[in-house]
Amino acid sequence: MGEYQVGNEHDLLVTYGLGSCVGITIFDPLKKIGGLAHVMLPSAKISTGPNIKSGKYADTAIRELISKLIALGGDIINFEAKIFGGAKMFSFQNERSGMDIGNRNITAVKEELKKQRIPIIGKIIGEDYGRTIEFELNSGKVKVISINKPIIIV
Amino acid sequence: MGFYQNLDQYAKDLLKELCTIGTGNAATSLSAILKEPINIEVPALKIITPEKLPESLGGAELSRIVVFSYLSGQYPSKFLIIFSENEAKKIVNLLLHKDITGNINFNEETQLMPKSALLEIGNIIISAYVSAVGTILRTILIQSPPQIKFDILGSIIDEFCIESAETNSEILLLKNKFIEEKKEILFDIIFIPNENSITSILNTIKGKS
Repeated sequence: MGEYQVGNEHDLLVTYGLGSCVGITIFDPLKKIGGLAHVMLPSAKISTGPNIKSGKYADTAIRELISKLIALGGDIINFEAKIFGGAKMFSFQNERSGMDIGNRNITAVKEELKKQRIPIIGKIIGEDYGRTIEFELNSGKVKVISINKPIIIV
Repeated sequence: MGFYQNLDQYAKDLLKELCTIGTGNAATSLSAILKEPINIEVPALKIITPEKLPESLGGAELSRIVVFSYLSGQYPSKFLIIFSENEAKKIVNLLLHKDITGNINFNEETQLMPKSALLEIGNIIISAYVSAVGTILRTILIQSPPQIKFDILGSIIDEFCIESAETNSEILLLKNKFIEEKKEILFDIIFIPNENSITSILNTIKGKS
């Protein structure tokens, strides 16, 4: 949570239990490299305090993931993104807590990807259940695992 | 970051004591329903960064049944009761004298009863806990209607991590274990008071309110 990972065609990147957090995969199909971020909050801008960890926020995490992939030899023109999570797990009476943080996360992720001109070619988002993501970098396929639901390959 | 670092040992002991009384009361209620003696362990107090919360509850990847309730008002806090599938099945068996066949799936019609039974057990435990805490704080605390989820632990609690991550604050959690020896039922209740709540609790107990 709040971190990102990158790898090449031999790797399988996994993140467990996305609820209102959002998982973003970025893949370069030609170079077969990719990355997976697990972001908790929409933007680093709204955050205060001394230790801002870029991997926690949609905007900064996506930017860092992109530069990491470019450093590994990826070309931003080839990049394709998929997004997962952003669920609403509980309801709160006064909705004080987060004001549907899942939804805000999704919006922020879409905006940042648009800004970076990376197309979103797959998504499984929203609703009220958790998702575990397995990103296979040989094929670029993402396996979405949820409890009591069929496994989906995106 | 400063707030939790500034809590001295005395303040931590007060919080732990409060949680022991709450858990004790909850154990008495649970014991009356299950008609079995329930033991509790000395509570554990942890101060962690939000990212570490799933890990400190056993691991983000685990499948868990969680009953969740919260307090708003002067003492904003959250309560979580976490059961493994196995534990949940044993409790359902004790209460309903019926077994859940196969995996837990609350969407199945046959599991509506077990689902309400677990939700109700969660509600009773949390109410007993909250009412004992309220007595000490000399106020009536009313918790939200409980909600139940069976899902990947990480996904159930990430919203709570997010809330603290948003303000870059840490999380203080008080964890208590319930143990029913005959059937070997073991589960945790987690009390997560937020910063304002901790300040209010300590001021009230120390008579500064």
